[in-house]
Amino acid sequence: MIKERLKTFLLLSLVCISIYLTRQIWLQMPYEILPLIKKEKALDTSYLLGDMLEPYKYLLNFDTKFHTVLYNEGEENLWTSIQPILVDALSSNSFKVERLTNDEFLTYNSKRSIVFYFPEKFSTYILARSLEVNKPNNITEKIPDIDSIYIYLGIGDPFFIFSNEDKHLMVYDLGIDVKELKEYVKEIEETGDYTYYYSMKDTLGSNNDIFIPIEMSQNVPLAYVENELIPNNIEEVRIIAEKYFNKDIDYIREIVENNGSIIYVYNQKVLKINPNGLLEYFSPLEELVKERNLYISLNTVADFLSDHIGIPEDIYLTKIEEIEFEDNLGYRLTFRHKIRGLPVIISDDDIKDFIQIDVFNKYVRKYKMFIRKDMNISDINLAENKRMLSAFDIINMNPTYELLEKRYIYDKNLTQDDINRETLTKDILSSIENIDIAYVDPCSKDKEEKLIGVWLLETENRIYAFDVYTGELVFER
Amino acid sequence: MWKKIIASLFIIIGIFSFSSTGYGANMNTSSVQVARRTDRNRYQVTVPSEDAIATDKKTALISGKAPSGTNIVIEVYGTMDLTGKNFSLTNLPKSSDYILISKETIKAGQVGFAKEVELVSGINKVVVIFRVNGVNTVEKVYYVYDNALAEEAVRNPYRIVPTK
Repeated sequence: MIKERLKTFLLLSLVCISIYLTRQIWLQMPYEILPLIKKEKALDTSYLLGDMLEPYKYLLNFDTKFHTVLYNEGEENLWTSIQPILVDALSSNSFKVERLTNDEFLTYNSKRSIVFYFPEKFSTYILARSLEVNKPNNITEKIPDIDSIYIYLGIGDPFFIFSNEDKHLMVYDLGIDVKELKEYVKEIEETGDYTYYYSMKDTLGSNNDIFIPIEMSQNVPLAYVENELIPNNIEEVRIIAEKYFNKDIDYIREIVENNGSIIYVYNQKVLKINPNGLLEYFSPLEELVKERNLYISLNTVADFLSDHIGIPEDIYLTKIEEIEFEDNLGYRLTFRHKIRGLPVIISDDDIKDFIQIDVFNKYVRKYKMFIRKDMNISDINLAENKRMLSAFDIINMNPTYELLEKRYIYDKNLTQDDINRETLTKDILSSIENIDIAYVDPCSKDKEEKLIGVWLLETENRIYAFDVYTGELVFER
Repeated sequence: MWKKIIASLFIIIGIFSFSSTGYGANMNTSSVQVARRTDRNRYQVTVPSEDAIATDKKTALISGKAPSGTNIVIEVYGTMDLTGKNFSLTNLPKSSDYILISKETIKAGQVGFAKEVELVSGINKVVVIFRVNGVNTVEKVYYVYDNALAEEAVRNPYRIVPTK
């Protein structure tokens, strides 16, 4: 009897295995019969999803007057340290919340704390899922989107403030331990190897809540980049094509255009390698996507990037846009990358961004990639001898201030009678919404391209990039 | 009769030409520029707002307002009080006790001026001199304390008392 049952069990197992293997080779099932396997795969890539939703800068508030901004978490691993605490906060069932006004929130920057700034507002639920919180608590409903996370590290119980522009939700009584994070901040403070940032409101009397450096403690590192993709190397390009289509090059159609672009076509999918190193990929949608899902889309992108460019380092998601294509609903995700800890901006309008993906839930329809890598030239002779200007120095320079004034008057449609000379400077300073340090990649050379260190000044309508050494305007958008 | 008319015309022309010169002078004459220069509200140290500050940081920000192009001298004085125990904010050094640590001339820009200065342990005096006639010099006093000494003082307040 037992022997017969064993035989039946073995037979059933063999049938199941054969169905699974057959499906792997030929069949496209109308519905998912093995959801567990799929789930396992999703979890495999969740680390990448977590990597995508990373802050791009950190404000460390030491006390009322002294602050610093870091772009590269480096050895301090601030974001990595906060993640377990954030997981506790987003999964805890016992906590209290309080809504704060913007003015109330700003007072907290004078207390010992860290603020993590994201480049884009993200869904709190997706952030929780990216941190592998399977059942996020109702913080995700109370503040559905966030663009920064504040954590108090002063005397007394720690607490979080989740923010989205002027909306702030304080979450306390969490019973979390921030001892390690406090130690990190203390270590950074004691090294003294950082630039002090000051509140513009307190220092320059403006009416905004951003921080500005007056003197820089160190220069922007000199960096040279080169294209990761070399279109002239046909062997390498063919290997890339094989990887994209998962087929031998003999099965892929290759077209070389007059301008030097190489196009590969297979089964309605197209891969185009431009002479400037820009890679473009198009794939038709396999089904109609009438409902967009950001979590599925992000996972699809995570899978896609893992498959095609490995584990991307120093790449972070900067923009999520909703798009529509022939009744299909999806997202356009834009990624930037960092070199030596600083964000890199492309000044070439044809390329615009390093990675741009149009994704419709499970399907990637369009993908553009322009990756540049650091040549790691560390020749001492190449070091900049000049002193780097601070953001304050730049704004205080006559040409910069005059440009800001001219644009402010134009953008606000002010006539000579409308201009109040007494308050104009304060109004211009108040119109600055963000100050960041970054590199600009002119994209004029395939290799040995020198990146320009810039101060990015963001106002309501414009972004200015000023050279950190000369103060000259590099670009304006 | 003609003489009277001509004389009256001369007087009228004289009056008109005199008054128009007066309007022009309102915008450009040097006397007004002098008046502007002496407008003390345009020369201010806004940070720090207090005259005496206790801090554990050896860096301090001095910032303020001044018309673009104004030369401003910032002098930092310290004392030969290496232990930081001889002077305090309630027991300031005499003028002769101060020694010049640093001196730098900066120029005000379009939004004012700002400078980070390095301090030493103990009492420091920062003097901001606007190189303009009639504008007062501004002085700020900093007491830079050592956190370890401050903790010791809290534990045993009788051990760290000013000796002068």
